[in-house]
Amino acid sequence: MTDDPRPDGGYATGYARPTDERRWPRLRRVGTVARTEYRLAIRSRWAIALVGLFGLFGAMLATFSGSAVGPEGMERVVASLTSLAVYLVPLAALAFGYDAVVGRETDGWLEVVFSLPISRAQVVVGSYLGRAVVLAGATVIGFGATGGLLVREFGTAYWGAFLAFLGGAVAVGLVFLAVAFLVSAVAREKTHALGLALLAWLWFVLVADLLALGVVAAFELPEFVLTAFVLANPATSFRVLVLGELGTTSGGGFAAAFAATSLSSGLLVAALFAWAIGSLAIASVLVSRRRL
Amino acid sequence: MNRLEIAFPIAALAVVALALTIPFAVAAPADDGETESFDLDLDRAVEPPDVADERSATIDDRQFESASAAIDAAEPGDTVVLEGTFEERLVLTTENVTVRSGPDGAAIDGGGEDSVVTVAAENVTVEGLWLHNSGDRVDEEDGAVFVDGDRATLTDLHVTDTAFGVWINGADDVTVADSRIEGREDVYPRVDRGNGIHLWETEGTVIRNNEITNVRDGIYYSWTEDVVAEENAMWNNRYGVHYMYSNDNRLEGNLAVDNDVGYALMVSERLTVANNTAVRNTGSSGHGILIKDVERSTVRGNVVVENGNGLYVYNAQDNRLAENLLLRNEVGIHATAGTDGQEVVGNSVIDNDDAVVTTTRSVAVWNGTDRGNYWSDARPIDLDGDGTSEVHHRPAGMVEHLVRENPQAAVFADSPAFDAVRLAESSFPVVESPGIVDRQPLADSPHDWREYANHR
Repeated sequence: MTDDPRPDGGYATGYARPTDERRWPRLRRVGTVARTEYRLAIRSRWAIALVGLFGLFGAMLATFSGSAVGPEGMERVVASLTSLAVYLVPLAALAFGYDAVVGRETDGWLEVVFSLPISRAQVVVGSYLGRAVVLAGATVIGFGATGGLLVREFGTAYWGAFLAFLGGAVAVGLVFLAVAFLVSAVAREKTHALGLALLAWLWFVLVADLLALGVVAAFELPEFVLTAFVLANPATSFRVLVLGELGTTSGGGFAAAFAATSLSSGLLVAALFAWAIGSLAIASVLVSRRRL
Repeated sequence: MNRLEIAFPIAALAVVALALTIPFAVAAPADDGETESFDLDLDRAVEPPDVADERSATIDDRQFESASAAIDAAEPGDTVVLEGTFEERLVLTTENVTVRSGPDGAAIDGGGEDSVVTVAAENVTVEGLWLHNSGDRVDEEDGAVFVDGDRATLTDLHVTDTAFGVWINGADDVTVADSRIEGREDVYPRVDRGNGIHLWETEGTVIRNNEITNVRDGIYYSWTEDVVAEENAMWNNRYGVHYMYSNDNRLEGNLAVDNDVGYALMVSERLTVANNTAVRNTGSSGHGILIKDVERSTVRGNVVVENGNGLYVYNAQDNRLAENLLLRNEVGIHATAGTDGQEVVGNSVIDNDDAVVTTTRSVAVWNGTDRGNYWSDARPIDLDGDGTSEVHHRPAGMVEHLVRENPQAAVFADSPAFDAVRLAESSFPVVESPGIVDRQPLADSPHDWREYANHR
């Protein structure tokens, strides 16, 4: 960690070369912020911690779910992995991102960066990209190790199911990282941000679905309301996306219910993208108006 | 950049590249035969026995013109030995006579009318014959053997191309054993065929070690009592076994594969159905064991794998469903239409698409006195090490009820919201919504279910 001789992690040197500014100046600036954020995340052991977290839980699930026999067992394990990831990935993403704005402000870091010739929105996007690379990489490596175990156990007949899960897990992680940025931009203090992040987790993972379930039970609803319930919750969108790819093995009449809605994989992926971009955009606006 | 900063994205990209290419790099599924020990053990294709070219019908050393002539001449205690092919229908009217094939084999061709053999006297034995080509009227009992005499014994028969296999017409203490009955596969639907062994008003009859295929119902019971059927194999029939109005019968160690319904128990009392196997019975109704309007019966130790419904329990009262293995069925146990008072204990309900479907509006407790069942989707917590969980399991509780009432709610299947409701139901027994509850679910399965490889 200490073999880099530049004490600031190379941040200043990124701006010491004005010749690079001519082409794609904005992109370069965002890239510099992202690179810095990425390196800080690596050095603060976040990458290792996240890989360890995902790898440990995934491997435990793949090892101890002994009830699956034959290549079809893969789909059952992937369904279980999805159930696990619905809890774990949003929590990890929120914990990883909740201090991105308010924490940096407390450190005095934001004040310094905002004094540089770079817009605040670019700082937010750059920070997001830097952390997103870490989170996505950790998801891929951590759960990828689980995938290795699954291939050894079940072969590759149902590998597509696992790929859908892995892609979905990366996507839902990035969405909740953006939500964490939004929370961080709203909060005035770091502890508030932590509380808000936990509330957001509780809402998206549990409460929203419980409410939706209650509404479905209480009223005769047109089909589009159910679609809206699913799209309004990225955690649910992710779960439905992966289980929809799995086909019938998830049981409980899921496939029939999925077919009865107007949900499609494309729509769900679009919803996840919209959540990530929307949250980040609002966060950027809030940060731009923020008084330090 | 230090090494970790460079290595991390490279590792991530490597995993992505590996994930995308692995289907091409790794060969077909690792089907290494570890789980192949589940052998259904069916002789699906068996040729009829060889038949002598020379035709002979003898009693001791006396030769007769035809089989019928020999049978008509037989005195009680005589044995008629047949060899070669006979195109005649046999009617046995003398008691205590044995008709059997000689060492070179015998076939009786019924000529496509009526029954091939009619047993109209008591204590008659028919042994080792190939009986084929009966009439085709299923409303007139056309079949291989029509039994109208008590204590008849039918063994080692090979029956092909008949409407009914064996029709037992009010005769008691009949034995049908070690025979193979192949009905007419080209008659479709299956309900237009005759039954393999048709029991009518018989008591004390034994059906043992027969193979029955391509008929309507493998063994059909009506108004029979104290009949034992064991070690029979039934496949490609409508129902493997079918009980109607038949009490106090015993069904043990049979195998039913690829029928519409494996074992259909209807309108009967005090049946014992034990240690049978039902696999892949997925026809239009598709039940492993159908229990309809059945009372005070025992269904115990059966292995029920990959059927539509494992157990379909319809308006059944006060039965004991114990120690059965319900594995990979679409629905493990489907209980409906006023089913009540079942004792459901010691079963393993494993990897079914739905463990339990029920329409009950009250709470049904599925326990013995102190032990429940094993559920693969339960989360047993056994703190005191007595093999049962201290946490209730709701195989069909509030969320299952909700999904049945509002199928669209299934979109939330496997969601944390479902988990939370289930957790509340099992942790706070005060919250008892209608459905099935197991108060002492087993921590481990009492069955060696892993030996049953996936045939789906």
